[in-house]
Amino acid sequence: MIKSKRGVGPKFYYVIGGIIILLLIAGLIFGIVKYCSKETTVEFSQWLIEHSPKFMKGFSQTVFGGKIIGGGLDNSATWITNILGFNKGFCDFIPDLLMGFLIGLFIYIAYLLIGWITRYTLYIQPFKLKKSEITRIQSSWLNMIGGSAWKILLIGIIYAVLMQIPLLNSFINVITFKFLGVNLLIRAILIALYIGFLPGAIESYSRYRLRMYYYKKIMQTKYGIRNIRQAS
Amino acid sequence: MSKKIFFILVISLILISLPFISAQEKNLFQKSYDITKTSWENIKDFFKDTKAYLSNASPKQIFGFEMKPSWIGSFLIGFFAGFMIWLVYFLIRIYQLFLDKLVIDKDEEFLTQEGGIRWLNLAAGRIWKIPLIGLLYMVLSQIPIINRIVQAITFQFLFINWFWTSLVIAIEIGFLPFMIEETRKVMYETKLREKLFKNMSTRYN
Repeated sequence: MIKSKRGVGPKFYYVIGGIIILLLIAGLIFGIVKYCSKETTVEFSQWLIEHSPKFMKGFSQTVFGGKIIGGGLDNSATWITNILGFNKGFCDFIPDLLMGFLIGLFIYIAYLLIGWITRYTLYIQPFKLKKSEITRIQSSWLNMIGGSAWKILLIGIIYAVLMQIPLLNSFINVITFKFLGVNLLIRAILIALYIGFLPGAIESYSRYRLRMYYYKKIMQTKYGIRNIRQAS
Repeated sequence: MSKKIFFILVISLILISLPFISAQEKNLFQKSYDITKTSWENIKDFFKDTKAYLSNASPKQIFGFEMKPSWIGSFLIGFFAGFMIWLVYFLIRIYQLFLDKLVIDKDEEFLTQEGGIRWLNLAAGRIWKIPLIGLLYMVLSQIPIINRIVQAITFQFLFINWFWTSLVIAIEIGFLPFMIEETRKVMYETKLREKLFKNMSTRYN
């Protein structure tokens, strides 16, 4: 009775809205999959025939259209352009976007885990690791790129856009060992390690080198001072 | 320049030894070993078996494309290696806590605190670095060619037990650089001390 008096609550609209959005996303994914399953590759030999001058048409047809070098040329041209990352289209954008989201998710999870581990093991860890440690994590590189959940979307979009640039995507494929047949999950972890931890690791290592340098200088000063004292 | 040559030599040695490592993965030495034979005969048999294996094995097999190590297993090996490094770091820090109270000289105190265990701190000075080492090892063991190199430098083809693999990783990334760092520091200090004594002796003579 009370419900009927109050009518339909805002929750109902949220549910309906959510269902409509989910249906739209499902429809979009279905449409993309259907569109991307079509063969859209243009053969290089066909392109050469179409673009050759009129007097060369017959010759082009014989050489590139026939069985002399047509197939081989197509294969090698496609192979080279694929390797250099030129044959990228909308259909490649979506998997790259999903992989970017995965990378962002890994970085975000790593940031959360590091925060939790540091917070809950603060008093187990030996000395000088008081609350400044948490502040240090909060001001770290990892916080900048994975400090909030919305950064997952940002990383995903940036990665997908970068992967559409020829040569750059080939470089990313090389550093993630795609050419060795490494699977998607490992590649995502590798990129997360590269962009999440590598800058921090380089920074820590350079700090280590600097401290070693200071150590040498301090030792030199120490023995130098003793030398003067002894002399006087 | 000498460092570059050293690295090139190490890398070429690893690359040359890859086929033998892939053969040893099948425990050929253990299989061909016979107590009644002499050592030379055993080695000869091992090379014969290795040759027979390599003549049948595909390049994919040799370079680790068909290696499928367990994800969780390799993660735990790396995790344990990280844990060992952290534990040693932890124990040294506790020792230093008691030591620092006894130190009177302020210069010495600074040097004990700062010049102590920097490498161990860098490698696994925080607890969160332990799973990170595990993750890194897991990822590396899944990449063809690199997994063979990792297998070579961690002597996995000799050990079957995961504990020894973990220990070797801990030694290579934690304890060995730490020992080198300490040795270099001692050598440097000795050099400075020698210089000081030399100066003093020339001054007084």
